Amino acid sequence: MALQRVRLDQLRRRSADEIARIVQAIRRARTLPRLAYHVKRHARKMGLGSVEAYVAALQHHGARRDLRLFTYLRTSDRLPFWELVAPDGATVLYSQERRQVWSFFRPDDPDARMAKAEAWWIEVVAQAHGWRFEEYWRWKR
Amino acid sequence: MEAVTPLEQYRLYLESVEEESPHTPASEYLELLSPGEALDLLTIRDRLSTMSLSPAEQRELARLDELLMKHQRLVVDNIPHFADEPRTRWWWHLHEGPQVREEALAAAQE
Repeated sequence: MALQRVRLDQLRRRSADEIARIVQAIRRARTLPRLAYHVKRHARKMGLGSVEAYVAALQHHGARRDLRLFTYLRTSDRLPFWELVAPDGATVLYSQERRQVWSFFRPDDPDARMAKAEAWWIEVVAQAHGWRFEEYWRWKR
Repeated sequence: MEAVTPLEQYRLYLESVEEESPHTPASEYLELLSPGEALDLLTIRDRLSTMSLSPAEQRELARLDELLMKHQRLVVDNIPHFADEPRTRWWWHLHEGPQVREEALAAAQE
C-alpha cells in the first residue's frame, strides 16, 4: 500500500483530541535537538544571525495563523512526521515518535519541494469539529 | 536577508552531515537529515543541474556529489523513490544503488 494511503488510514483511527494535542505540541515548541547543527545549516538562509534569533523565529512560526498542516511517513521505518508550512515555504518539522521538533528551515525552492510532496503527504485541515484529511491537495491554491 | 546560493546551501547540507556523522552513533545516523530536508536537498540539486556553473563551481559540485553518494542512505531511508524523474537526475534514483550516477555521467558523455 502506498505510504500516503497508510498514513491516511492511521489518521482516520486517531481521535480529534489526539491530533489537536500533536498540533499544540508543535506550536508550543521552544527548541529542538541538535540546535547548533540546524542553526549552522539553515539560519543564514532564513536571515537569522544567531542561535537566539533562530529559536525566536521558531517560536514566532508556531504562533502564526496562516500555516498549512501536513503529515507523512518516513520511508524506511514508517515513522510519522508533521510539518507546519508557511505560505513562503518556511516549515517546522516534528517527529511524532520522539515528540520533538526535528528541524526548522526555509527550503531553497518551496514550490518544487511541495510539488514533490503531493503524492506522499496528507494535508490535515482544521474544521469546526475535528479535522479533515486531504489525500489530494495542491500547494498552489 | 543574506542570500545563500543553491551551491552554498547544497554544501551546508552535505558538509554538516559529513562533519557530524563521525560523532553520531549509528542508531542516530538517520537523524542527520529529515524527510523534509531530504526533499529540499534534492530539489536544490535539481536547480544546480539547470544553472550555468563556472569550472570551479563544477568541481565543487562534483566534490559535493561524492558526499551525497557517501551519505545516500540518508536520502533513500527518508523519502520515496520518485521513479518518474529522468535518469539524468540520478539523485532521485539513489534507491537503485550508487551506479545510477555513473550511468548518468556515462550517458551524458556519449
